[in-house]
Amino acid sequence: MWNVTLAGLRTHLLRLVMTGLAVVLGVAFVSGTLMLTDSMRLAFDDVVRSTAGGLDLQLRGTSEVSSATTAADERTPVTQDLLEEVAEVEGVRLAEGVVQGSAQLVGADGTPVGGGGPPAIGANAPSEPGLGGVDLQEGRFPEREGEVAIDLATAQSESFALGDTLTVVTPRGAEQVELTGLVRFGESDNLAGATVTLFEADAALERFSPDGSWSNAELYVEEGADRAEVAQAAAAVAGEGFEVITAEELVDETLASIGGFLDVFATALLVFAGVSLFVGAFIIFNTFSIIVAQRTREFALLRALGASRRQVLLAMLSEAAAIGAVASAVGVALGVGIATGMVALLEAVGFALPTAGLVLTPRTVVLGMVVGVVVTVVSALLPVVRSTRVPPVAALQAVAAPVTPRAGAARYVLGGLVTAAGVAGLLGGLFAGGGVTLVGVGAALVFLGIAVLSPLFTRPLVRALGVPVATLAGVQGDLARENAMRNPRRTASTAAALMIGLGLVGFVTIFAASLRATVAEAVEDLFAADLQIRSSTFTGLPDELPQQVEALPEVDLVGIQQVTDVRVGERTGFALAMDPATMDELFVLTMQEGSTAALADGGILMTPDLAEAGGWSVGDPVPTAFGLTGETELVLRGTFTGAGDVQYVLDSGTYRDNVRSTQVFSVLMRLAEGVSVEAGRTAVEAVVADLPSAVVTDEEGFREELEGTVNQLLALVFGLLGLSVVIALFGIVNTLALSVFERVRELGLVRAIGMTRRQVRAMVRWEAVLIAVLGAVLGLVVGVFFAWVLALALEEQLTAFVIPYGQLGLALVAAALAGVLAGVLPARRAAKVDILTAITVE
Amino acid sequence: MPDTVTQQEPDVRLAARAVDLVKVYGAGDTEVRALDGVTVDFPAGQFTAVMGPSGSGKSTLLHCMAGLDGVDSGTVMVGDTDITGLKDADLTRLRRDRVGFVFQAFNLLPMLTAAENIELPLRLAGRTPDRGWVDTVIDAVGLRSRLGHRPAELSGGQQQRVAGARALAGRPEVVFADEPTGNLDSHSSGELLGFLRRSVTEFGQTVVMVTHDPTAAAYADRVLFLADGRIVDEMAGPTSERVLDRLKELGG
Ligand SMILES: Nc1ncnc2c1ncn2[C@@H]1O[C@H](COP(=O)(O)OP(=O)(O)O)[C@@H](O)[C@H]1O
Ligand SMILES: [Mg+2]
Repeated sequence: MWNVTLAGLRTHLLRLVMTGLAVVLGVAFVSGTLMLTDSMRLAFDDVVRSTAGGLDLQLRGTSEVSSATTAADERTPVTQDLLEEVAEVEGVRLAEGVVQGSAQLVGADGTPVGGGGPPAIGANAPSEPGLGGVDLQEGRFPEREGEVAIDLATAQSESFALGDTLTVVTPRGAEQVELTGLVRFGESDNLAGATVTLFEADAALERFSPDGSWSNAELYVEEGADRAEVAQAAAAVAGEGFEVITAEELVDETLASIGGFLDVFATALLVFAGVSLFVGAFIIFNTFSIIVAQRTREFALLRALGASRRQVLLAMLSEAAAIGAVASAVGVALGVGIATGMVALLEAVGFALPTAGLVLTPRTVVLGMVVGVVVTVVSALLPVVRSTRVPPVAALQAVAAPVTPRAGAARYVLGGLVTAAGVAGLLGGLFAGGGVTLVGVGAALVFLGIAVLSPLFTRPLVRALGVPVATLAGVQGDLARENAMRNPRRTASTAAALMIGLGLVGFVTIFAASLRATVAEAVEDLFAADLQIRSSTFTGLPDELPQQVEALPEVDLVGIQQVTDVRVGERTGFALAMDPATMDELFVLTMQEGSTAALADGGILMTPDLAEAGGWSVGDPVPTAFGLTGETELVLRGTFTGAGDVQYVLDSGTYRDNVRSTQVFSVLMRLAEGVSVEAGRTAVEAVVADLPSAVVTDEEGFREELEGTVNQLLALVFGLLGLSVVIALFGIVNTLALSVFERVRELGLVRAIGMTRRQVRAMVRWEAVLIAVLGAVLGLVVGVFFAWVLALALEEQLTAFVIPYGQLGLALVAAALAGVLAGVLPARRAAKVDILTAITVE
Repeated sequence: MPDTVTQQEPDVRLAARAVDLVKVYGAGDTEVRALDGVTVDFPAGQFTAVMGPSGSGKSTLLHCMAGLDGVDSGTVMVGDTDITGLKDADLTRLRRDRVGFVFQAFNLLPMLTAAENIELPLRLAGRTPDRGWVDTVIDAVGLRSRLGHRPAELSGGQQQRVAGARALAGRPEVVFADEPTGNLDSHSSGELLGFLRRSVTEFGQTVVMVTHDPTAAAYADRVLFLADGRIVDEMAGPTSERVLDRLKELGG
């Protein structure tokens, strides 16, 4: 008997650990996300405060459109004359012009420093150390053309030393410069992850502002002067079109824009954390259901001894709360690891993030604990309530066989209703403008509804899925199938946990495949050029590059694309500017209405949904605002589809009239008659040889690059969904371990009549595989449905709907293999069952 | 039918045999000699009953004979095989292919039908059931109409008969049954015992059965009496009265 007790204790421990694990992982994800975003916020906060906080006032041009997609706001520059005037204002000690642009350093390996991640900023060095928060750490500020100072962090990561000759690419092209100084920003070694290259003031102006004007000016007030008064006086001098803001305002404004990005980032991560917790809730529900079934006698005995229902309820709820609390505490601790892991994951897919160490706030701890305990208790509620329904007489019954209640009509109705509500939520969110939250709630309800319904089709499904298993594995497979079918509720809810993960995996796989197909289609129509040059770092290409390639004999026609933020109607978006003359030759928009012909004369093109949203038809005037020049009126000349994320298209002339930046986004080329793409590419590549961030692609390369972006996102989403799949697998381990404990006698029996240990292990593993495959099949069906509905909603943007059967099949196989893995531990336990102990248990 | 006793001849084939079997549980003060030098032959084609007071070592003897438990010293032979040195995998194969077992209760897998339970050991072995033989066994046990039923839908007696049919389905060299009628009423007991008897008489099987019931023992060809881990007596051609008398002598 002692053996049995020990086995019971061991199972109890395993059960607690396994139940807890689902909570631990979910809470770790939540608290890890909070920790990560808190840390990032703090890092940004430090940097912003030490830089923007380092000045007293800032003088700048007003901007009509605050940048949403491109790097910097478009503002009226501060001329040298204006700077000198403002310097004379009463109370101004120093007026320091600031000019910024992109300056991409090249690493020793010839690749751009920082890759495609954080920006590469070029600017003028301050005239005295400390201005604008820029402190000199080592060496000196650049004093002449050909010298630069860079941030300490970049110098350290790239092993640059004072006196080194560096390669830097500015709008003026690539050049060799000497490193004379290393700078810090307040407490930070770098500027929130960006690489910073500082030039001597005139050198900076020459590169970033050919007309010699400053991006903005930092004003430092005299000791004892009133800032507000100085600001007012300076603003009066500057006049219309300029503003003077305080350092505090600048800090708030900068933090707000970064905060917005961080909020989006945190929300996205928390959604995935929520998915993990949702999956965890299934595991907890399931485990408690099994525990309650196995402890029926215990509850009956308690009741027979006079415990009230309430007392039983409270006892079980306390048990759930205790498990939740312990697991949440472990989860919060593990969150540190998760946060570290997330940083690595994001880095791996190309999003390096600035962090100044991880921050654990009391809010994270409290939130993690509360979420964990609440999820545990709520998930355990239903089974716990069931435990109170055990009648005292059950104690007298000889064998407390776990009851398998028949699925009744109530289950059909409830499951059906929940699923229907979920579908309604999905449709309402996607088609009736209900928004993302409604879609999310709908999706969760669909999963829940299917989970409620799933015991109804578990038997037929497992029977069918078991056919190949029985053929493959013989009698063990057969027994596994019977075992998986004997308690459909248990099997179904274990599988349901995996269904969620695989549903989402299936959904994003299909969505990504459709997106890739859409991109491929679009590129085929769109990309009429032979070659394109783009910057891999979003920092733009040198201004004179188009002329340089145009001069090549191999190149026949050159068109440039520039981008800017515009506000069209009420909406701020991303506009691409091109010359209509070259557009039809190089970059062919699929026009739905109108044509590109009339674009030149103050025209604008947009996607049909944007035109519809604004209520404009072809020929209508469209109020359009540019950052620099403010509101103007353009005429809608047509609508187009299939140009990726391009929302608006402008004429190059309109762009030049309203935008100060001369940065080129991409250069498109048609090759001369008889020049092969290879020959053309060789010629063009020779021109950009010293520009590490310039990428020369043909149509195929362009498509591959866009598809690569989709794949990168897919990898990221898979990584984030991975945890919920892992939790679901722990659920399978847990259920099977409990089932094995429950079936000790049977296992003893089959061993006694000649089942080998190997066969026992195979039997349990196959059961795990069946549960996993069941979950995967359910999930993939739901995933296909989700993708299909979304494709309907995005009919215009997603022109192709592709179900990648191969990849989905792979997911199924992966789930089956994961099932094998999940079965290993329970299988080992089952094989270890001592025959005599098992068959002599009374 | 006790008059069909096969007289033990020197050249009779042995289905199983134990030589000087010792099985000790625990150590020191708590040491129990469950088997204390048991030597016994089980000739092929014979029905042997094993009796004795509770705790006398009957189950232990069966477990050791069937390869379910190891021994501390002595030899167990099943057919010509010495099983005392066998590894777990070989013992499992032995139980599957050459031995049948009927326990007192919980003999069947609840999720399988009667027919599936009966054929389970054969399927575990990857053997194609000998249809003719399995049908014979099923008919003998009187379960033809119940083959598609699961254990929960069968009476206790029917369940035990299914277990009996399973034990015989693989034509084992010997069938061990540990108080197979212990939980049955007298009618059901009669049906099961009748089946075991027929399997010996008509089909030439070998059965070793532990029982407390003199009526059950009377179905056997001979009865072994165990006490404190030793064989203390043996009776050929038992009747329930003679067995009862002997038990009284021994128990007294
Ligand atoms: N696993 C065990 N551990 C310790 N003692 C045991 C064990 N199994 C049996 N015994 C002891 O061995 C003796 C014989 O047991 P058993 O063969 O079950 O007797 P019977 O079947 O004749 O009633 C008893 O004293 C019993 O307590
Ligand atoms: Mg016994």
